[in-house]
Amino acid sequence: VARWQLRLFDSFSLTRGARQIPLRIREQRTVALLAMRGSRPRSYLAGVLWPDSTERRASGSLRAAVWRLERAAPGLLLHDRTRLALAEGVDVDVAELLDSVARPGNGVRTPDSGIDVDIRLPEVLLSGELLPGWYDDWITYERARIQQVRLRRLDAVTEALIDRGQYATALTSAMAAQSIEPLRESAQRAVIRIHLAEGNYHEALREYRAFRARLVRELGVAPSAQLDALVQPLLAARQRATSASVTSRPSGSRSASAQRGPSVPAQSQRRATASVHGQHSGAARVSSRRPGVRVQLPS
Amino acid sequence: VGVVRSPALATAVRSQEPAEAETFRIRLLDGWTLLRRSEEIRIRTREQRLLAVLALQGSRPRSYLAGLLWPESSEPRALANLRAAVWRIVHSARGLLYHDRSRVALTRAVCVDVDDMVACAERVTAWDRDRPCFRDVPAVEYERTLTVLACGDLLPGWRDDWVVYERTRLQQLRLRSLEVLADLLLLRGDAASALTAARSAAIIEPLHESAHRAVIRVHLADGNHNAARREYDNFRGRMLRELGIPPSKKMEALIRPLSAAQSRRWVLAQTVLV
Repeated sequence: VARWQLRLFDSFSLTRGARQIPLRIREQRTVALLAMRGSRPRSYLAGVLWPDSTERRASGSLRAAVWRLERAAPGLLLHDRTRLALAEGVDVDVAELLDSVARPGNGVRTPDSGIDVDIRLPEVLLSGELLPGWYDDWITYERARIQQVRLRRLDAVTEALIDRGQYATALTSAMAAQSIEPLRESAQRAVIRIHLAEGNYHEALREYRAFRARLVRELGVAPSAQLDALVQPLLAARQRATSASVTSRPSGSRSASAQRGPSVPAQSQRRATASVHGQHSGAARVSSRRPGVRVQLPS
Repeated sequence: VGVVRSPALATAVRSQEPAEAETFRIRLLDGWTLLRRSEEIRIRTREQRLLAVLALQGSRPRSYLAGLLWPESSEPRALANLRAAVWRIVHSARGLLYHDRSRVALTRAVCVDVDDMVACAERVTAWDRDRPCFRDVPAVEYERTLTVLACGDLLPGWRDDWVVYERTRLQQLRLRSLEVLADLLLLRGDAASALTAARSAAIIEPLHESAHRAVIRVHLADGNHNAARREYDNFRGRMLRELGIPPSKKMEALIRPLSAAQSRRWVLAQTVLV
């Protein structure tokens, strides 16, 4: 007999073998709650699923949901008068994630925490949010909890991978954490460290500027000194190079260019480079793809 | 009494049946195209955006799609827009969408070029992990992989956050896979293909150092010291002009033997002249 497969990441989907089982929202919510919380008394389920209804109405709704589930997906539920649960042997992706995190790793310890992690990045660690678009309180709570589990694990895996010099996989892991929480500095630091370790200075600076702008825009704060310290050598080198090019100019134009600041020479040079590379895609495309170059660095 | 089937559900179930494999192709790299077999289907921007989200993210709930695609509209309005978009797609390309009351997805009759590219990147990782086996991979296979990885950006010109994030991610994936592929091809002794792979990576991002290092490594391995030197000078010049930063130590280490040899030759020439 084919096993039940329940997916709650990315969107709700219940399948058995190759067959998709269509369920209505009410039934979906019931199944999702049981999958997240395990075996529960009926009164508890009714209260969580229909918090705004009277007790009688809520338990009526629950009975109707169970009745429909019995027909649409026979064998999926275990139920008696007082309790409900999912049957044994239903594969749930959330459980798979939690298992993979709880399982001992393959002997790789992260440099600072010393946690034993599996550095193979299982698919389920990279998949999407829990039931996106569902706004019930319990879902919002569970979603945040799962994302925290993911983030902690991704951070640990990223560290272990950087430590072993496996930068490509480390970047995948760090970018996954970044997409979950775009304002998370630890993930951003990891991304920048990877680019720096590979000598990709342009990417490192672009990431730094984009993150800085995002933080200022959304939270009105600057990144931590730790993040600044990562790119400081690059900024200092750049500063030296620009001031050198300013001082090497004829003295007549010096005051004017000094007033306009360091971005001016960079900009006029950029046009020259764009036309060098313009042969394959047009100068406009090359320069528009790298808007970061134009931004003047905050001091 | 069975489940009450709405007409929408009935079509959904029908389109779930294994249709003729890959009737539709959605191309998102280098710009939007939708093909049924080889004939192009034209659809409007609204429908393109919906299909692009589904192609990139997979099956999604209606409320999520409505919020993502019409963030400025009220929820009922956004859901109505979504329904209209689904309706239009279903009518101009039957069998392309799965949809029921709660979610929308692409059916298995659709093949998306991004998936193909990600599969190619994964193949390169697998080859890299098992290097001895790479020697037995037939040339056609890595040439195809090379072609797929060398193709363009994701939906150029689209500015939605979900596109921009995915574009960056895919760009990094392509860059890295091409760099690794260049090294593998060098090991195989195929310098010409290795150069193509490294070049394709360098073109994606003219300031990406590791890609340029790959190009230089290929030139050096092939004995083209002059080409390596020129590539290095160009890259260094570009970095200094655009970022005001010289290349990293890794790059310098690659080129140092060359500089040492050159200056030795120069010293030799001087002594001969004297």
